[in-house]
Amino acid sequence: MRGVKERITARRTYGRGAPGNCFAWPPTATVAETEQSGIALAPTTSVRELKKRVHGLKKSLHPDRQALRLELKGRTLKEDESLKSLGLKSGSKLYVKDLGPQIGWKTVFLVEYAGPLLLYLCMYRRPWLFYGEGASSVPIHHAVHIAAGCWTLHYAKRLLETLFVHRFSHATMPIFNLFKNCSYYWLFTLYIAYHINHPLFTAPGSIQVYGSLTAFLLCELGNLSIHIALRNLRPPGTTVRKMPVATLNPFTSLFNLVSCPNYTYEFGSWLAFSVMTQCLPAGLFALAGMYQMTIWALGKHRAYKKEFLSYPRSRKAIVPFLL
Amino acid sequence: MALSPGVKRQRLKADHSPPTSAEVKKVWIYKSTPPYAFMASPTILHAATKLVPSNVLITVFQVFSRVLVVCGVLLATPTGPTSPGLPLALVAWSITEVVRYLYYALNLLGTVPYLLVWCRYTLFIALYPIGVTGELLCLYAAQAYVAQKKLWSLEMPNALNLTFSYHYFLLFIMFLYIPLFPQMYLHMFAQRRKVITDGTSKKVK
Repeated sequence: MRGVKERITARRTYGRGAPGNCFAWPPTATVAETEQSGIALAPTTSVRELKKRVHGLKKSLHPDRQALRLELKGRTLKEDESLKSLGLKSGSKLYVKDLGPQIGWKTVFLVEYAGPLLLYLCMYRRPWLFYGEGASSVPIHHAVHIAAGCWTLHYAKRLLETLFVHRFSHATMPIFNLFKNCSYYWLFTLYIAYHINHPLFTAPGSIQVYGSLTAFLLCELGNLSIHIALRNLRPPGTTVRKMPVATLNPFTSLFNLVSCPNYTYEFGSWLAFSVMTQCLPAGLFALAGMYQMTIWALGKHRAYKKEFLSYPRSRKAIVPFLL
Repeated sequence: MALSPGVKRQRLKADHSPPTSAEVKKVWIYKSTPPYAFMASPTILHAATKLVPSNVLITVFQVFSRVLVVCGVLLATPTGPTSPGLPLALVAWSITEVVRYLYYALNLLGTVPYLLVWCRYTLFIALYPIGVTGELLCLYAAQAYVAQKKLWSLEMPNALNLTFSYHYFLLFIMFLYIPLFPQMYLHMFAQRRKVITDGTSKKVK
């Protein structure tokens, strides 16, 4: 219906920080002030368009910083929903939450993965700052070279995947996440690299080293295969949602057993790395990662089951047959 | 001269002189605090099962820091208990805990007098910084001894290619107070604002 315009009253609330996280930084604050203003719109206007209009009214509220809701504590509206599909009419109330300063997902990934790559290779050279003078001249066991190679391969792969493989469903995340994520990756890198490159590092026997190296390489290939398969699930420019299944690549057959085989392979890589170096700090890193990935996998598994009615009942989330 | 703090007097045979205050402190700590340390841990369970209205993560930090100071500093080192931080921490902890557990108990019975609510949500303003200062002073007094004796530390080479420096660990804990204390302190103020408004108290969920 041409020419029909609707007025929507937008009520702004100010709140920041990740929901449910009492240690979010900046500290979460609740409603500080509200403002009323009118914006003229059409029934087919999308949430994305609406956010641009709100940004026009308040310059500091960049569209990526906004979370629009129908209820104060309701779910965040998706970008492609229209006013019509949401049942919004003239005089309807809408809540705008300020998510705080945002940073691009890709940016965060590139920074948090570049750190481990550079820091490990720095420690590989045995700087005097950490090991004292003369440490760099102590002979290096071949397992230490292999470990450095594996570490470099893993993070170079992650950087390339971030640039060329992954398709991110969200554009941005709160900027605090940059510090949180980088701390996790960079500090763990220093912790692990310190021990493996230490002059007093004791390598395990050759069978253990080469056996785990094989396992590591297989898991890296598996992880890459899953990432590529997930990318190919949605042709670019479409919004189809497909259930992930095994493809011709044998590594993807793990989809028959778990919803998130990329996490399974990832844990496999780190477990293999820990056994290869027989280094407990590396094992702790593997466990920490597994803990976080399990939480993500359980969430994804639940979402898949809800969305696809024919989802295979025998599939688990992350550990075949078990979890 | 019998009670000069921190002085270990030479004991002669058949010397029935009263113990020095440092010795008294040490015996008192050995006798009373291990039970305390273990009795503090159910606090976390109470918060987790919502038996008491407390945030689980914050309670974990509180119990952990207490147990670390008591077991890892006061019991483990001779220098920790001689720090002026000990009386500060003990006074702050004692008053806080009496108020807190009385509050929890009466809360379960459903009748908490306003004075007690006021105490729980007001005394912390002074007691929390005092307690933290006490803890930090004890930690500082302990870390020098730990560095020298390499207490509870592990060096390479070993089968797991692992090192642990208890000295660095204590320094790290002291450093953690910088980001964590303001958050915990402000959290308490936020709780206070929710519960105490204009001289009346609202029911805590």
